[in-house]
Amino acid sequence: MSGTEDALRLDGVGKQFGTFTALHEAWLRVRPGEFVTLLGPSGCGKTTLLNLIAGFLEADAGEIFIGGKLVTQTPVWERDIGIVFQSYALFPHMDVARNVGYGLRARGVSRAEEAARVAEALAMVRLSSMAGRRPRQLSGGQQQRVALARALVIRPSLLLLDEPFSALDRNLRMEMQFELKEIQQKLGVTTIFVTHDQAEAMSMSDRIAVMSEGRILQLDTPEGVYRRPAHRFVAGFIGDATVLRGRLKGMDGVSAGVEAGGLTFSVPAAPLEGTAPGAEVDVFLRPEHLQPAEGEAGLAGTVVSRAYLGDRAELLVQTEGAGRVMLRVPGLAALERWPAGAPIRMAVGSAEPVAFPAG
Amino acid sequence: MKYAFRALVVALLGFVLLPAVVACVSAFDTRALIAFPPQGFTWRWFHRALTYEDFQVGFVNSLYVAAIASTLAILVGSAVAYAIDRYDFAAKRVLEAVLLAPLAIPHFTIGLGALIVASQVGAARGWFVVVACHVVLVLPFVLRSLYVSLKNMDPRLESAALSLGAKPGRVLLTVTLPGLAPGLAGGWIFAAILSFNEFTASLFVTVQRTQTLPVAMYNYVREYADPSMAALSALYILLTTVVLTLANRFLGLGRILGTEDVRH
Repeated sequence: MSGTEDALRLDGVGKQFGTFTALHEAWLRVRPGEFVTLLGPSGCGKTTLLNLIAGFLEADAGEIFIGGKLVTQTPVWERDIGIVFQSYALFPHMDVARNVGYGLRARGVSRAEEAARVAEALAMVRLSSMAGRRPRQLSGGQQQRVALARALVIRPSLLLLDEPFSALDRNLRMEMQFELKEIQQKLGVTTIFVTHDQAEAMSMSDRIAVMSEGRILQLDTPEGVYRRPAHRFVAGFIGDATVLRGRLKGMDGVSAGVEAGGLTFSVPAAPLEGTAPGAEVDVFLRPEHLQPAEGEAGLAGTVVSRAYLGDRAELLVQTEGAGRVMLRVPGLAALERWPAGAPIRMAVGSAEPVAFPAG
Repeated sequence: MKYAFRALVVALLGFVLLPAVVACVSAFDTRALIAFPPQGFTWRWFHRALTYEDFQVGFVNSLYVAAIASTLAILVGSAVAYAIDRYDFAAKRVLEAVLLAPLAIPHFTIGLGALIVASQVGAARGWFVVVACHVVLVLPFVLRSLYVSLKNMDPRLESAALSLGAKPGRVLLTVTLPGLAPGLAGGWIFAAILSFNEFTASLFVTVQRTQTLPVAMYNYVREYADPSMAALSALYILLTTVVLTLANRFLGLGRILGTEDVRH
């Protein structure tokens, strides 16, 4: 046990819906001020977990602590949390100022203090001029900032974000992500963020809990889940990976050699522990794990399609006998040399992929 | 094709409005007999309709019954609609069916039934039976209106309020009820209009003292055949139209009836 109190602690929290286990025993410790993302596809249990933390659902097993206080049986309104929903859930019959002040009024804060804190919160989200507007008169991004101000003005111990960016278009989404992250860091509020969007998770989080089928498979930094996925699912879900079947050649304590498609990759040894040399393995290749090769060496293939992204392009390549892989090349070169249908040869890139026993 | 469609619309409108138009026009006839086409013009029948004592009493009675019955129906209906929308319980389907049943049961059956029950339990044919009968009749419409309002409300609104520290009672008063206000008001107005116009069931459960306006009108036609009835019909139509127009102006009937989707 560490001396400092965890901002949020889950001790074996589980939830059943009839015979369906929505969440298997989840264990999680979140430090004060930390931004932790629950990431996974729909149905992975991330929303169930968020609802358990918020108190909208009752846990069947385990205990939940917020700020060191046991809250497993505490009703929602006494948990001291702020939530921003995907639909924003602004009260349509109240103006922006009254929306933001709702939690303060519920706490019996004086009128003068309410007005001051609402003004401060609206300034924080740059909406001071909108105080008198109704929610339906605001744009999506503005509504979201109101929802954020409303959740933060009560100075909650925990900020919960339930897919808050899903309803925004792409440009606005990026802008709101930066803004939210900035506010979160400035206030130092511990944040649990739920999303199915791995790019969002990567760019915002201190740590990411990757979830699948009701389990937290890996809890690590964005770099950790990207570079050292601990599980096949994580390797496949984070980044655009293609799988290449290969064989384990040998390993030492740290890294292993894997031969796939005529290329030899160096991969971390840990995921392959206990696998015998010569056994089949799956190499998870991302576009940066391969590079074009000159001459007759390397893995041969044909470009199936090309996604031009300006400074670079991503090629989908059909290899000879090893399935399809993705490959990142400089944008200009792609235009000149590799249109769809062009032959290409590939060599091992600079970054190290991961491999798991064949599944 | 376009003209054929227009002609159809005009024909339909004519068909729907014809009886009302004929009645309204006859109301101004100078002859003491309902007839068409009218001869001459007079306000006489309007004057008689407005000063005839049975009509005056019936009008006041109808107002009271409509106001009390629709208020009771709103109270019962909102509780039931809320329960049906938010909770899952064994008797849910049964309750829904029972409350919508008056739509399928003829009004005279309800009136007759109410009469029999009232006399069995020894209650005289007083106000209670009339009001109770009207509550049963308008409840399905109230329920429908409230149910649509509840369905159109984002359940996350209540979740958000709870998370902000408001206890359930406070959430109900500050978020749920204001959100339902248009549905409540619209449901109340519909119930009041239906109750105000109700005749068949009322005929069974009213007596001279408690007769509502439609019943008073019926009793009048049995004895007289002058255009006072037509004048009264015209006034009826005018009143209902004014109420509905106001309701539509301030509440948006399309939204209440669920013919418009308010969710984005």
